[in-house]
Amino acid sequence: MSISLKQVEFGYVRDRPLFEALDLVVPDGASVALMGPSGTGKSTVLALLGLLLTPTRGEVLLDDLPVPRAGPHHRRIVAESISWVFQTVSLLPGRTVLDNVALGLLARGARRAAIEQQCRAALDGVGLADLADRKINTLSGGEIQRACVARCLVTAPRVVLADEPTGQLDAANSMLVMDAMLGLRNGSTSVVIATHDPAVAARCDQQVKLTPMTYGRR
Amino acid sequence: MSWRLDELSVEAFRNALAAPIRTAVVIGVMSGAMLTVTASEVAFTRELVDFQARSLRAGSSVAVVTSNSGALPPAPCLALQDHDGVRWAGTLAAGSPVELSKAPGILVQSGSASYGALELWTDGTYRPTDGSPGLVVGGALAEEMGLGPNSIVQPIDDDPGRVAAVIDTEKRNPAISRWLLTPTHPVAPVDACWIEFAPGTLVAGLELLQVTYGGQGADVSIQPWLRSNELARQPAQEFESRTSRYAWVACGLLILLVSLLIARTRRAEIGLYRSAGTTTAQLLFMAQVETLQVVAVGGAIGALWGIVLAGGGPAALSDSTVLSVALRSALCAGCFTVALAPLARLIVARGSVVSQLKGE
Repeated sequence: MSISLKQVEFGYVRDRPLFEALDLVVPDGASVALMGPSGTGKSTVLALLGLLLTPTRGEVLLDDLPVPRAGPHHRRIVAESISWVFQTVSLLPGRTVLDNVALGLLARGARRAAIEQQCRAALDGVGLADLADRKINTLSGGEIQRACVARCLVTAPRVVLADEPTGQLDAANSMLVMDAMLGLRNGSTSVVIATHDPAVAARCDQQVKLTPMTYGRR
Repeated sequence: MSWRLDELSVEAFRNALAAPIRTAVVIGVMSGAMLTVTASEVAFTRELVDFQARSLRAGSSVAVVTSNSGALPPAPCLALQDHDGVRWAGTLAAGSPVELSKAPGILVQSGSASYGALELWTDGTYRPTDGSPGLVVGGALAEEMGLGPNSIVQPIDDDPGRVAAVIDTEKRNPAISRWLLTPTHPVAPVDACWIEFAPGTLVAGLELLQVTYGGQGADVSIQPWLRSNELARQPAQEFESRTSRYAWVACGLLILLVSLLIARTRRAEIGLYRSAGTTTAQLLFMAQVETLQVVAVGGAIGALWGIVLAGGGPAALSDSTVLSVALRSALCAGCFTVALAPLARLIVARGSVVSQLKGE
């Protein structure tokens, strides 16, 4: 699925836009790395692409079709098309790995019993099959991020948005996470990764650099 | 497609189990709040119930009719015995003082009392039966003279008599505790008519007495037996205006505050659910299920302890009055808490998912 921002304006404070007329195109099946120093709005771009934030002006397009700003259709797109991987521990800490991986599917109306095998297969794909019944708070940082990737990919999303997914990992674990994220997606899944790490960015098809904003203009 | 409600409930249940310390804290707060609610209600209710029982035992529903101009006809008084709402009615007629052979020189007041009066003065602990002639001795006189059931009393210048019973009249008519009484069905005029009405019907009973005695042109005095300050209390009004009846509101607000504090520590979790497509309504449903578990467990523990501790032991659990008041308050507190619980989640669920996921 292609996803793009067209002439998007957004700011957290009124009259102080973070972006003005921002254009970004992520082609169908492509992987794009968003780079740039802290505070340049990498996470905000991801949130706009993931429809978690609404642009002040401009549009978000999925397969070249504008996405409605709110309502059931908007919620369905968010739930069915987009998955996230975050830098911070974005898993339920006291729950098992399997419970966490199942979350996305359950939110789509699946029954727990019916998806267990599917979730275990996803964990097998990221090398965590043996840890399926372990509590999240007993895993290492690398294992947690791979569990996040498994949770993200088990729903077969059309867009994967990853916010500094390797930010707290060493180089070896970073590569394991990237292998899982880029290698296990199906062909048409687009991936957008916000990262500081040039090695991670180099694994992507495109690199987009965001520069620090001079007030009102980028 | 979105969450199935049964899976959402299971999710809430598992979340509660996954954070045992957090769950235990909330259950502890809930049970403490519920203990306070039920204990305050039970303590208040028990005090009132005990007061009512005490005042009933002391004769708070008793009235006395006396004649200002002389003797009182006994028939209207005895007829009241069969009236609805009258527990006992009976007469008292004073006799001449007598001197007993075992205590020469000491005069003892004699008198005759109808069976209803004897039952009234003893709060029903003495039940005279027809055809059991004998004397009835007040407790104080019996103690001073060393009399007991079947003792023979020998008045000087009269025939001896057998003591049928020694009665304790200290609570309801201490004046006759030194009397020597003869149970009787009076036909001659008497000095007083004693009537006990059903609990809480004294005012209506006094009106009945006005109708019964006022119409005969007799100059009678109709008075409640006890007029102490203690009986000036209005238990029903006190019960209705008690502050503890609103304790459930405080309980609900306390749990809301705790839920709010805890929900703030769960912002990342809320953001995670939202990023997976969980709607606000579904998040609120989860909050309600989680609260329901806490209220069910913590509330039951707290309410049980509240009733037992304030009720004076496990026996309070079988006291229907105490139990109904306590459970009504506990139910109010529980329902209010469950109704308020989603508010905390709603407040925390507002704002950007991104900032929630970052724990900001």
